[in-house]
Amino acid sequence: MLEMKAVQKSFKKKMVLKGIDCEIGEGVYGLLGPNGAGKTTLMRCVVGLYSLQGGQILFDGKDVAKNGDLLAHIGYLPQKFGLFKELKVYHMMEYFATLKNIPKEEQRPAIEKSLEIVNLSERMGDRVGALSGGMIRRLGIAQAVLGEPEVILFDEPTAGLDPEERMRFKNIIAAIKKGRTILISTHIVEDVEAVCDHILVMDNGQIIGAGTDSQVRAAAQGKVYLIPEREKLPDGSYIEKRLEGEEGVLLRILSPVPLAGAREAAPTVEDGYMSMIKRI
Amino acid sequence: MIRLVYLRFRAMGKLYFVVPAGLFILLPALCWLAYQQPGNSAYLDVGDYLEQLGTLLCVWWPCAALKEDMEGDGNELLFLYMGKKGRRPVCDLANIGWYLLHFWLVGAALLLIDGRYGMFLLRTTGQIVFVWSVCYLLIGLLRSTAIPLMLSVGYFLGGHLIEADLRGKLTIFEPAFQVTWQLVQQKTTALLCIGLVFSALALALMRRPVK
Repeated sequence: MLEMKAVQKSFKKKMVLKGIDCEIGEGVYGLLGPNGAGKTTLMRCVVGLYSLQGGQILFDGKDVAKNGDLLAHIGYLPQKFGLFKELKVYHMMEYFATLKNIPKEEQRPAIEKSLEIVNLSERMGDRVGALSGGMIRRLGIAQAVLGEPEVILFDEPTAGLDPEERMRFKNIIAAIKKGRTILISTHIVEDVEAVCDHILVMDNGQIIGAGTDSQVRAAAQGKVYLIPEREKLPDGSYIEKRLEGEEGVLLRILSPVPLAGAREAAPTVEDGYMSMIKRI
Repeated sequence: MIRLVYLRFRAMGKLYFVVPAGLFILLPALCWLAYQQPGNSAYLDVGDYLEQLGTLLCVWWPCAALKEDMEGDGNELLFLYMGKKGRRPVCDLANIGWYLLHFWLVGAALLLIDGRYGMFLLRTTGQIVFVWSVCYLLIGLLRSTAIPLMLSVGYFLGGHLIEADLRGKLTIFEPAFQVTWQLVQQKTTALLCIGLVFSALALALMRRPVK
């Protein structure tokens, strides 16, 4: 169980995390928010890269900042990963296995298992620099799961990946999630929808919404409409999609006010997220 | 830990071989050429070559080896597992120790030729430790290798562009003809002590949170 209690973090005079309170138990949690919301800062605070100006982050009741040993229970994939391009894949994993204090005799099976999860077993003998961007990201996931940590943090794991790699990532999460706490920070709603049991919506340094898929969708109930393109948009509304169909071109909009006569649409997770972010 | 240090060197790729090539091929070649020259200046020339090549190669490369730790994509992981967990001291000191070993292997061969080279070897060891520790401290402060690497080369080159008479007064690099055992004992001891202090400070800085 990962607990965040009134977590505050500032850089010089700018307060980036303004009192984050949440509990993260077993399951897959999506940390959803726009760029600059503080998602990466929060992740880095959890693993101890940044010191806090206030609050605590606890793992099973123990303060992460004061107990460096707790890092053994946490796996982390940072936003950018591409270390040791001159090493072979196996040697890079061996490096991290050694850093994670995995006993020498257990390293090979642990490395092989991690690489198998991410479908890189056949590339064990290749140089890291010879891998594609998607493969390097998968290698990053492999090092994060190495040593069977109980908590795994992924920071923007699918950014820049092609649809096929994003699909692979979702399959990897499904394969590793049993018995673990996984926190995925992203601004891609689709990825959160596909793999996450719980969603935390973050904006401007605060958690502004939390819940399951259906609870986040409910935030936009009664606010999503389909209107013909030629119609005037209500003030404060947002266009989400443009749809072409038999009835002509329709706009799917998020409206702050009920629209009489307009066709209401069933909200999606993205609608709920946008509704929270835009304060509609 | 030995495996970790080995993998770190391996991670440098072809860049790793520059120091062995410089110390085991270039330096002996220069020493041989010095002995082919007419006159009796070979001893002093070799003393200068040891200082020039030894300090440059044995400082720049261990610092460059830290580029991945400081600026690589995903260097946060290395801070977590190396810096916070306290593995950094052994790995980084093993780096400089390894290159000093290379230097002393060449030195050992020179000692067989002329025992007086011991003075230059000790002097250059002190210079290497000092300049490396200054760069290491800057790396710890700035969390970047760019400026320390430039400074290490700049200080080294600047030290050798200064007039020979002034060099010993203004820098830690004095010309070979000014080197005496007394100077080596005093100056080298001071440089080694300052180097150890700077290294300890650097290690403390590298353990602090990134921000």
